[in-house]
Amino acid sequence: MATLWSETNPYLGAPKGDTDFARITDNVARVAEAAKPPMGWYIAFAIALTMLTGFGASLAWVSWTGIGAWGNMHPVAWGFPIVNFVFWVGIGHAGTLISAILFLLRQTWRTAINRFAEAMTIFAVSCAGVFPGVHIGRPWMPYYMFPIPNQMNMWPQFRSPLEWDIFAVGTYFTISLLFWFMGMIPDFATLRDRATTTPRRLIYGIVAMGWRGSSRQWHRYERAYLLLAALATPLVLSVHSVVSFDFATSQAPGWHTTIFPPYFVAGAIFGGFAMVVTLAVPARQFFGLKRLIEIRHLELMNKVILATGMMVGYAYGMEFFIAWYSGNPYEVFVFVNRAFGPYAWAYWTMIACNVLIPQLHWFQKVRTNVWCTLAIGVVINVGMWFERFVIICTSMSRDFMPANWGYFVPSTIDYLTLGGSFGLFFTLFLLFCRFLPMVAIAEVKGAHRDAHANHGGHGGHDHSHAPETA
Amino acid sequence: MPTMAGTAGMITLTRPRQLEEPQMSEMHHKKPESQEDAPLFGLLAEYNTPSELILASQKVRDAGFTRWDTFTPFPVHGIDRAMGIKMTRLPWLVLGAALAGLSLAIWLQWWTNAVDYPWIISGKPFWSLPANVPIMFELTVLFAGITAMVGMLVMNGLPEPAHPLDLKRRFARATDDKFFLLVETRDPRFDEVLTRSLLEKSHPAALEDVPEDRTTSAQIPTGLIYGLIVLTAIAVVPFALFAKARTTKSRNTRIHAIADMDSQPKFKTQRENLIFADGRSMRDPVAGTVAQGQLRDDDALYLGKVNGAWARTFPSQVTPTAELMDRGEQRFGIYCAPCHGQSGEGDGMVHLRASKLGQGWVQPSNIHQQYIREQPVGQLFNTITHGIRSMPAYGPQISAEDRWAIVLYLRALEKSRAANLGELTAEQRQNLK
Amino acid sequence: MNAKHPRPTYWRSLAELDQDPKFQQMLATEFPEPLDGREMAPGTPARRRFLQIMGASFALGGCRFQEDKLLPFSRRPEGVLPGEPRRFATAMELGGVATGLVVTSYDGRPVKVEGSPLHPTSGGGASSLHQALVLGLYDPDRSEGITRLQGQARVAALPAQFEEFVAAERPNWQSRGSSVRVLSSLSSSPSLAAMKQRFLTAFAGAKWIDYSAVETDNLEAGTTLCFGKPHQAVYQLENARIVLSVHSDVASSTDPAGIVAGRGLARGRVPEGQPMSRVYAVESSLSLIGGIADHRLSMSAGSAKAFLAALDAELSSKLGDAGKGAQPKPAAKFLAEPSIAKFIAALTQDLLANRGAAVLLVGSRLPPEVQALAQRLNVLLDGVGRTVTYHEVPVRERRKDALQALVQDIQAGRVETLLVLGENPVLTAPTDLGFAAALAKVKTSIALSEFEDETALLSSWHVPLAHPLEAWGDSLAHDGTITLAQPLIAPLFGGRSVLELLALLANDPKRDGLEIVRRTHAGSLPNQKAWDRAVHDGFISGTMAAPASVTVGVLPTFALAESELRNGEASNGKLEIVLAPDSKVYDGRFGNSSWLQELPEPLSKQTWGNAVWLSPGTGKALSIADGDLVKVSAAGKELTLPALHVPGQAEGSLRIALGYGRYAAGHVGGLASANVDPVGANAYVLSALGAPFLLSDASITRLDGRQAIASVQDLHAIDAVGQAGIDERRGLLLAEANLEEFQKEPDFAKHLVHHPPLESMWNDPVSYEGHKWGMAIDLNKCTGCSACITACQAENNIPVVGKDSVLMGREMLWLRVDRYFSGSPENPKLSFQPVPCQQCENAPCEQVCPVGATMHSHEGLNDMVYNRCIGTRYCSANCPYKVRRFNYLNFHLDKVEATPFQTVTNKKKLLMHMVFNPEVTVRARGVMEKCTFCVQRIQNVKIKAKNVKRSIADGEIKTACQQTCPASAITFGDLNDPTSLVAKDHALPRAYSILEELNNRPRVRYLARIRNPHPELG
Repeated sequence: MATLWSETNPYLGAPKGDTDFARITDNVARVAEAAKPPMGWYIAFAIALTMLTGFGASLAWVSWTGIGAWGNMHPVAWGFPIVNFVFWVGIGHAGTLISAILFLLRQTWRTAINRFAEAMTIFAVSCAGVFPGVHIGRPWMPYYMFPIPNQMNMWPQFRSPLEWDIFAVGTYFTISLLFWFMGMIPDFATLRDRATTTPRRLIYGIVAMGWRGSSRQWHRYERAYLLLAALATPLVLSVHSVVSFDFATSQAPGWHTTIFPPYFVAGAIFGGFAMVVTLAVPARQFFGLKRLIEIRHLELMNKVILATGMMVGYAYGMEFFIAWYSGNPYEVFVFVNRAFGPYAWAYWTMIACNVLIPQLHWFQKVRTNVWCTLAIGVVINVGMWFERFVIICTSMSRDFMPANWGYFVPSTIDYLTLGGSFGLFFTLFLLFCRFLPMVAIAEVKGAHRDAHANHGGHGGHDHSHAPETA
Repeated sequence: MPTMAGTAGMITLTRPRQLEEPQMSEMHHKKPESQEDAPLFGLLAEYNTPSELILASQKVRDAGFTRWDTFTPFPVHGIDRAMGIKMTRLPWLVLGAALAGLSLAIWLQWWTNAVDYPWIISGKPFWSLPANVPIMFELTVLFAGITAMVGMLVMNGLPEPAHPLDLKRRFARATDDKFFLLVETRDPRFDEVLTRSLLEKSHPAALEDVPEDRTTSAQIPTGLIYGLIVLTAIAVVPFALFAKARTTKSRNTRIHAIADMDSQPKFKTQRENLIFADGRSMRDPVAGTVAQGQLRDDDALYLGKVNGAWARTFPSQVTPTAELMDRGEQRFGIYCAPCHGQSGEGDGMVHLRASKLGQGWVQPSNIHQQYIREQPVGQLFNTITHGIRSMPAYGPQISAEDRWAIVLYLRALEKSRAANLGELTAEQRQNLK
Repeated sequence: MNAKHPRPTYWRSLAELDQDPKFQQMLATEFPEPLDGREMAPGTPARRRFLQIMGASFALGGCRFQEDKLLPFSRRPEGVLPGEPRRFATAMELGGVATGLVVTSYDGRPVKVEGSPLHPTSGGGASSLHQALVLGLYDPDRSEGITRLQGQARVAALPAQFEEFVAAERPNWQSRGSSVRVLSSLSSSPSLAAMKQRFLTAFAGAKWIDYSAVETDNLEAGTTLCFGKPHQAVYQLENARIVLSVHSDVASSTDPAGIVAGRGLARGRVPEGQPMSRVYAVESSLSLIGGIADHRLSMSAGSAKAFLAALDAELSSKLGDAGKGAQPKPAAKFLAEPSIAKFIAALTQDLLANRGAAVLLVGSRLPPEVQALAQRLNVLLDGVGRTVTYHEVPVRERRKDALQALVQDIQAGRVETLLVLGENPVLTAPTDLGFAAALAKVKTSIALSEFEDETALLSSWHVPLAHPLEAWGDSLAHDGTITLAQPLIAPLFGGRSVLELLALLANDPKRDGLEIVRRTHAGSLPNQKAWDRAVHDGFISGTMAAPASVTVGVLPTFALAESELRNGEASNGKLEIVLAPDSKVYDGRFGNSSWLQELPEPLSKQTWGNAVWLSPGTGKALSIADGDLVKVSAAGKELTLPALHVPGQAEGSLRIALGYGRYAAGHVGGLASANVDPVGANAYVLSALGAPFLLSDASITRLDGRQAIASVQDLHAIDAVGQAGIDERRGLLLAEANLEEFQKEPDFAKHLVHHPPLESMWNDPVSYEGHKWGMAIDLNKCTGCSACITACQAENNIPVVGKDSVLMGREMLWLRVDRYFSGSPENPKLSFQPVPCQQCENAPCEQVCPVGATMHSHEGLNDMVYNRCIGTRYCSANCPYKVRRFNYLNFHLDKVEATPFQTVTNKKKLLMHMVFNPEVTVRARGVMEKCTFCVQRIQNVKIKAKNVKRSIADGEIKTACQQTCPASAITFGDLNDPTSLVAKDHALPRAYSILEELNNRPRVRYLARIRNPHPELG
């Protein structure tokens, strides 16, 4: 990779500026301002765009022939589409979690990564949002799920967890978007004031909405930000709980489990953080953000991954225990079948990726090594996808009456759709890296030690240790 | 000053509006009067560190100024106190919105599922709270969140397109690394000399006059206006089309891209089927076939004949009762009266109209005529069944039982005209008198 | 939950029992490769080619709302009310036996076939074959006109041309009558018999051959042997306490008396009150009666002779009847085997203890001597007049001799004209006969058939045959009752009935079917009234054949061939092959019926094709696994097809269903001219003139490669874990007990599952006053014949999905008949469980639907609102019974016009649409559907009742499945009416509902299966 940018990459080298604040500004802003990104970005973008095309093509084919083009069958009525949906919603959790909960907990280290964690959330939720719409048998009428007044008094059925999903995911997307945008307003102002061309000045000027950093405005801004954070925190926890209700409120053995909400949330945070590091590591290398996204930050995230990973592992174990303890033959069977039945391969992939491999993070050497971090992050993402596959497909393939049993086999279209959703995700993410402030400039400055009245003086050049916050 | 030199190039490039740049002023079609004689808007002091700014702010605050503000690249800790900013009312706004969202959610779910169109769902009550909690929560958060964002913008007076400070080149660093303090001339306590000295006492890195903005035109750029007009025009088009579609007539059926189950492949009654020469999907029964329950082998009932001759009495299945009489009257009214008239004199509405048009219309028989009165019931029944002269057959339309009912009513009708006193009871005769 | 009762361990397929390495390997690979290389992207036009023919082309027809024209009758025929269905009694003859039917006609178009409740034999029941008639009527592959052979090509000819030809030829036929041959399908029709006489007198010297593709001679030969004259045996199984079935397949749709037998058996299987019958079955492969049997013995068909001889010897000695034709005890070793010896002992004891109430049924494939023996024993056990009656039937030339003579005559050039009437000998005649070659030699051959089939293609003339629902006819029911058939619609393609064609050829003054049939019965039905009455009823009452008094002659003692002395030798060269008519396509004549092709075979649950059945033991011995492609060979003839392990198949015995592998059936069954591959393999190639359906000394060898068997159960391998799970739960879902257990604890079924008291968090929103529909299914009566499935399909416009979709588990049948095995794979017990929608009161499907597309009616029906459904499939996911079916593709309405199917014009599609029941929505793609308890039938009756302000009587509403069930195992009605049958059934102690512990409160209850084993055999 080095060759890709070492000479050509405008993002590398020391940032300009005579104060730390100026250098911070320049370090982030220059990425968005660079006239021409290095070849590496174009290659990545081309790949992502190709995958996105595949996404479109597969969905077009599906809506033309019917969802039978996917592998969904009887009894596995929910195949890949819902697996992908739950997977992406899960990914979409880290962002708001980092920006909201860690903000409330005054974890200043979040400033390094919250911006693109939030961006990642938006994009992940966008990917997730596609599936409920297209997975239905008649994709031209998902609006039946919205409460639209009509002369036939046809209203949604509000007892359905799917209906809850519509509201939960919709709200989550809106709030995350607001949160993300609000955080970027001051940075847009920065970009506006540094803009060198009229179009940039106009565009950034419009989105900055005339922000000038007035302290009276900062006052309300911070208050609003705090409120949003306070609102988003329960929201994060609720969204995946609601998604888990899709399964928990049903009767199917393997789904009908009260542990699902906390288990899903833990899993979501787990997978979300894994995705953040998966993106953060290349980003900091590629865009020269090492000074802002420090090893320290990665290590902290790895600790979170380790912790949530073990929660997930605990949930896996507890499911078995409860199944055994309930004495319900159908419950017991479904879990034994998971581990030793036809889908055992999927189950053990999940266990290996989500429970065993993350244990490596006990070692500081691993935690603090960017490439290990990256590798484990990727592995966990695979594992989390398989977790959803196991929950949905394994449970459904063998439910109560053996005469219904079947074995789900995905079609090529299924794989195309899955890959395509990643295409959508990375396309959006690369555009974000290219044109938007990848790190929250103002917040990083605010967390800088020079930002604090109690010790004035000129900014030093040392970023190694954490700035204290009062 | 040295610090400026390093970044001067950058700044000159990035200043939003430049006095030196004519093309800037050309951007606005109406040329305002020149900037030179612009009155003073306020005094701008620049500081390098937040702490200097805070000290300065405290001085300005203590001096009792009200129309002044500080500008920082990030929220400076403690500046609120230093400036004496009061707590915003935003949280109360958000609380209100949250409650609104909550009540909307409750009302929506209750009214739609329990009142407007109640469903029996899984043997559960029409209204039971637990299932409705998730959506109540989500709407609460949604409303609150949006209000927090929008409220913040509105209270901050954003978006704010232009500000005199934009004309100060060094002010661009307010979003980068410098800290500014602005005291406006509008402030009642503002005194050009005193205020300047007050600020100088706080050792700013620089202290500058800020003139009013005379270059930026107050009115909206014409380009924007035209743009908006075009957009509105485009936006109206679809609605115009809808309106046209609703008001104009067309031979085409309505647009209906996806047929789904609206047009069924099955053949409903009387539909077209091109397989057959006559295009009918309804087929005639094959000659000689007998459908279940349609074996009409009772001559008396179905032909009105008793061993070959017209039946003079009603068939055994038909017992003349008041109900049957009512039924007969009703059927008569439906099928016979239009031509034969309510009283059977052959003067029904159809007849009146037809004879007015007078196109060889034969008047329907008057059922009170002698020869009809003398016909056996079987023959009347037969006439109704198969028609006579220009009267069509009613067999296919009226069930045999009903035809007999009509016959019964006919007989009564005839009687009503041809009754003789002898058939009346005493008090009936009394009433006649 | 834990089970209280000792239960048999259940399993479903052999994949489960023997952990074959192939399966282990298959399970190990994440996603097993599709066996027949079906591609992964379904829905592509190519792979659903035949579905186009089942579909329409307007799904995306333009973007405007489709306009409908209204075309009323200008002069309405009396008794016809548009939209008011009318029902006509008619009949269908299969294998020379008539079944009385009632056909529902909607606006003059037949849409539903049912058994005639009035008719003495069918009594309301009808098999799948009968019910699929209506689909055959609207089959677009039916030939639309006369064709003739010119050189190699077939060219269309006008009826006039054909009639000219006939007129021109007639003198030759009259002069050289001896050169005329008629190959007519075996029929009991009096009119045909009369017409035959006219024909033979018109063309003196002409020869007439009664042909049938399946075995029909043995019984007559046997009775001749036994009674001196050929007789037809009519069994009254309801009177039998002990039933012994030896390789018989009564109760199956292939048995002409199947419906009667099914009803009879069921009547004897009621554990409450009356004494319950005990059924023994000795057979080489599983059969429906074998499924009912309390004791079943797998035994190769070849050894049946020895078995019966032994039984005869045993009984005769006990009855002191030895000498009078009794057989000596045969010297077959296998009879000494303890299991068989015990079986015979117990059987003898039962038979003797129940003289006058015992009956022996023998399969038609067994040789005459065996038939004779069985009838002799029936007489010996005083069965005559009680459990069996005989009536004489006309003497017929044996099929074998007739065919041989025919072909010899042709070869010798003695035949110039050959008529083939409604049969397909080119496909079905034994291969060593060389019929096809002979046919080519005949100067003038006239094939009268519905399709331009294998025979028609080779004949110089092909005349379209009128469909049974298009023609007048008559034939004898199983008990000899003269049954009349009236047409439901004028011939769609100007087809002629057999009678009409013969009338034309023989220059009969009467050419019209109606007149011909009336003439036949002029004697018994002199006047119009009498005739109309008979037509109305569908039969001439009082024409049931008078029981003949029979005297058993002295039977020759027969010697046993070497192959008849052995049993269960699973070694190549010593195997036996049984060729049986298929329960779905019969002898192949229904090969183009997609309903029947997709109907799961009751025992193997296979759809779309046939396979060679072999026992697991034989499979192991010859190392042949499920789904392996194998080569079966006997007497130098070979056949390649997939192998299927079937429990209960006798060791060393193979079974192959006939009627598959057709190349001129049509777009469904196979059509070489349109590159449509045949469905299944043609087993007729194995049959020989000498031994047509029972072949010995056969071999089977494995070829490389496997072939997917599109089964609707056990589609995928069941591993050890799954097996354990099934063993655990089968007994919870399927209540079974022996008679004495049941008598000890009648409500045992209610205690199979122990669960906490089932209470709801809420009070019910509705109390279901008024009607409260419910259903009860008696597992003890159900024979598994699957007639209900076809009834449901016909009534509810259920789409056919095709083999590929079945392989993906996407079949759409609303009503499943689950089949489970228990006991040892050599000698398994069978259990059937029909599973419709359970119409739960607390339906789990309802609360999860986001759009309220499924909700509850005030009569407790779980309604589906198709137009509201957007297809989230959540309901299916949450249905514990998985009875909901989803339209993954446009199974009905095909939108892809540019397909290999362009040969099919829209006109043909319109033709196919005529089969749709106008009272039921035809579902489009992306919509969920399921059993509705035939809500349209419920509504119709409610409306009728309301119009005349009366209440609905019990039994007035019949669901399609209930109506057709020959065993009347299904009851339906109003649970609020305590006197209704269904309420009574629900109240029975052995009534239980499956997965009751989920507190879904199903409205369907099952009556537990009770077995009545012999105390000795246990």
